[in-house]
Amino acid sequence: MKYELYKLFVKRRAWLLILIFMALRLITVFLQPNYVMDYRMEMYHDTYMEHMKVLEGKLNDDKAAYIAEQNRKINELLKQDTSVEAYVSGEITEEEFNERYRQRNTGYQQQDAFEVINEQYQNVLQDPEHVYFIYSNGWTGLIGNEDLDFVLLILLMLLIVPMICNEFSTDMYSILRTTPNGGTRLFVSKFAVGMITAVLSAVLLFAVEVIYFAAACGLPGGTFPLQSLAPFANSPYQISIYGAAALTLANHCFGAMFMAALLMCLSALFRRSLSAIFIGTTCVLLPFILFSESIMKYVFPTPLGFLLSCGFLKGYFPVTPFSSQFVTITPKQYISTVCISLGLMLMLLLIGMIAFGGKKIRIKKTLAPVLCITFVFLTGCSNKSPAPDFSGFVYDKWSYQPVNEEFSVVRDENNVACISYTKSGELVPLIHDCFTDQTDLNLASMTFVDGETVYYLNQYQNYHYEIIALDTRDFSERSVHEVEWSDNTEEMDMLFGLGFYLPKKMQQDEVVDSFFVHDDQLFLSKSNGIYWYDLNSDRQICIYDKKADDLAFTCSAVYYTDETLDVYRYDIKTRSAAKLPIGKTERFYAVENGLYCKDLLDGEFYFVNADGSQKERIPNFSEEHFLEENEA
Amino acid sequence: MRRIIFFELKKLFRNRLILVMLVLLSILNIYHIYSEYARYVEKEKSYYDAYFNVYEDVSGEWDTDKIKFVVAEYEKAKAIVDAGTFSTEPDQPGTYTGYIFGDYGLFEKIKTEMDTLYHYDDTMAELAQKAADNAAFYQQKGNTYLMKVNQKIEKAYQNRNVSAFYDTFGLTEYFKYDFSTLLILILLIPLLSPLFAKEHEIEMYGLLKITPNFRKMSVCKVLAGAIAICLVGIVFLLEDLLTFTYLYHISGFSQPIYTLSAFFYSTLNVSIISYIVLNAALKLLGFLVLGGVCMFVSSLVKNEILPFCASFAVTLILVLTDAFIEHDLVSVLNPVTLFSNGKLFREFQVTSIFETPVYTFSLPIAAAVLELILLYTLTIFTSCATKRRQRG
Repeated sequence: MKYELYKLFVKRRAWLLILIFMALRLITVFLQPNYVMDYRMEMYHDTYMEHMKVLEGKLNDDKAAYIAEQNRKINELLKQDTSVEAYVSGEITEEEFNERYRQRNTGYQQQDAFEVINEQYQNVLQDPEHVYFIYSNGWTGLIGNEDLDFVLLILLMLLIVPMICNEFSTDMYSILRTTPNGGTRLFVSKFAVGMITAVLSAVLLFAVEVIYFAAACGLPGGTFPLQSLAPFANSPYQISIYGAAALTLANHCFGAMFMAALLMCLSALFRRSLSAIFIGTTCVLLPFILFSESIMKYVFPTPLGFLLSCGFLKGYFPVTPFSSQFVTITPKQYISTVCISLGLMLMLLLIGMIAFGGKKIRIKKTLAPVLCITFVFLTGCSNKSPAPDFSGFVYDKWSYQPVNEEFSVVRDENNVACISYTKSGELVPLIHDCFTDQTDLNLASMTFVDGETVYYLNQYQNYHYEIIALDTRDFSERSVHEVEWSDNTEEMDMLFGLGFYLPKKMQQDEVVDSFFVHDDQLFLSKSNGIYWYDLNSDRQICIYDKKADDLAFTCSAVYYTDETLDVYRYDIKTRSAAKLPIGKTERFYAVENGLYCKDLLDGEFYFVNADGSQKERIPNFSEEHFLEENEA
Repeated sequence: MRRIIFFELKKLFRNRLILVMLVLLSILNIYHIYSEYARYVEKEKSYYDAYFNVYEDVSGEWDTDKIKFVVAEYEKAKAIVDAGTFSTEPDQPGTYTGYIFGDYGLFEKIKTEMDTLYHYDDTMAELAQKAADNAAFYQQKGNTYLMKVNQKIEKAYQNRNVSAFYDTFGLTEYFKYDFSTLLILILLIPLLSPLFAKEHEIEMYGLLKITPNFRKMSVCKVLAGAIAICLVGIVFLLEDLLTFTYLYHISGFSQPIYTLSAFFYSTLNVSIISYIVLNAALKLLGFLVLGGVCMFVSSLVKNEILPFCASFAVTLILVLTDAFIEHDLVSVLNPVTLFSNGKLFREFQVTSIFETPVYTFSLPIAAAVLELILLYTLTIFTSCATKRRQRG
């Protein structure tokens, strides 16, 4: 056995392979999206952790009072009167008005962060004795994940299979057979080394995960009951989180040993690496694919359940996919599965011993896949906002459609977006696509004219928007910017007739309010901020990360108002924003050298320079006349 | 040469592991089709029994009596449902499905399908006319490319007509089904991995290289591999078709493919049976390319495990790339696109090649053919190159 260990770890440099796979495990754990972790805890990490300092642990009256107090405070902040009337009527000063806005925004942020706490509180209230407050991301990431550890699986195959098969492929076996210890005793030694290697691999790879999650999220509250972690809320085990982690590690080790035993037996039976790997992989992957949504992947006596591990502790599964009825893996079932698996391991050892010992084994080589597929059969695999008013040169109302000297874009009586030629009065549909309904208001819902190019926006709220450039000379089109997304729920997709879940898409709805194109630079005002895209390089810059109340573009700057109705100017050259000292503005129109803005307090129009200096009142300013003039 | 190919094939299929897997995976395939069928049909047996019976009665050439029957039954059920006087008790006499509401749903479905197909000619004629108008518009604007695109649309959708009505449920399910693709892939990797590598592993290569027909043998091995891929593929694809036809009572194979709702706007103007053959041929082309990868790796190494692992890894990467990466060039080059080739034909899609509109579906096919030639040539070349190296 000592020599087998020496051969494996020193001669065949298994230590190096294990180190490489540890690095690989670290990379996969870092890159792999972890669906069981609550992203909100990370998004509002600082605020959440502040609350957690007070709340962590078992619920008591003080903590309940703290939660009630925090909810009351947030509600108070949200109740702030932020209407402009109080400011316009002079009841409050500008500073007070701004302060109220700030407080309300703080309230919204705290509400979002506290939502997680409130959800945890509801869970705690259901069983205060066994469910504690805990910052759970580290632990759920470590033990709540149901993904198959392919790294461990591949490592085992690379380490274990050659231990036996190499003796056959190098014809060493015929020499070994002639030695007194070269038969069954050698196999038992190899088997023992295989078990040690499997345990060592499982422990080291688990250690990598522990280090990663401890460093990335921390692993606090290990002594709390397991039920404190959301995925294990229905667990039948009254153990601590540390206990659950230990049990997970034990399961991993057992699964690795089981896999190693299976591979060794197959290697001895088939004497070919390819067959051993193929059947070994099939034994794990086939139930993993076929029983992806079923309890069977755990109770079916293969290494799979132990390698996944999490389900034994979770304790409940839907009867069929999407079913509202649940079945549980009881501790008794778990122990039974372990016992059956131990029996199978023993059987694998015996079969391996007989096969390696050279005794004629009457089991046909074809029996293994037959058994594998028969098991699968027996287990029944069939169970298996509206756009805001937008002022400036880019106006989203059709009556103020952008124009050039030759044409304007309008909608005809059938709501078809058309180019209306000024001289001839001819109306030509903007979109010539046989397969689309031209009267669909989502098509060309906004347009922007730049010389002879019409940029139009096709926007289907909740999943897609696209900006298309149409050359009016020959009506050729090209897509300049496209964004597609789905809602925030998991999506079931099909691959080779098998269902799988796509990762959660975190992207929020992005409703485009307006856009502006200049020199291949696209400026988009969306529900989540103002963005600047370079159409040549796909580079994206966020100019303002909130929804702008009012907005205008010029070739050198973007003007917008924040929630307190102060106007900001973002300089495209210097890429910096500055608040213009012109007071609160109801709306404004931008021209290259400055702004026409309507003052919130007196309702009068003023012209201010681009940098906000020299605010000059314009008596009898007509908005309609101004827009018509600019259209011309 | 034929004898060598025959012996190579015999060698490939003499592996008991492969034969057993072929039999078991075929059974698993039938079982999976049945389980999918049972999930829908067996659950609502009375509804689907009525569904298949009614369809059998109304299927066939357009007939006024059949249309009148469907409309009358629909109106009758609708009147009862609208009046709210229907009973919720099961197995009511005088109903098709056992429930009046079930009858209403059934006849509404048939009526909608009939209506759509009956007016299909007019819908497509309108589309073709629209395309002709657009072509004239683009010609006037001097946009040759878009003019050609619209002419292509006009050509593709003109003179279409549906002369009969058949149930399309089974065929839709058949074209959606691709579990057998996974099974074929599972089988092809261990089948082809040892093709060249095993000769090295068992030291047979030393003997073979001194034979006069060594070069020919490499070609024969590749051809035998390709035939093996086709045989395995045909077994599973035929099995899919027969099982679906039996379970779902599929008929109307001579109908045009665009009678299936998913292919309503398909550019293909062929019958369903022709599309089934085309679908199978394209899948086989995909398998031949992936098999080519497997054989190529096998010809490079002297170990059986490497081609197995490499082919498995390449197949997995290509499958995942097809599922998760939506990039035009990647889709064109990826042979896995051919496995779910329905999406290539469902809509009118053209790509500009030197300002000429070319049907997008032809690109992955052309790419797969090129990849196939390249891989097979490389495989033959590498196996012969080894010979030269060893001689040197």
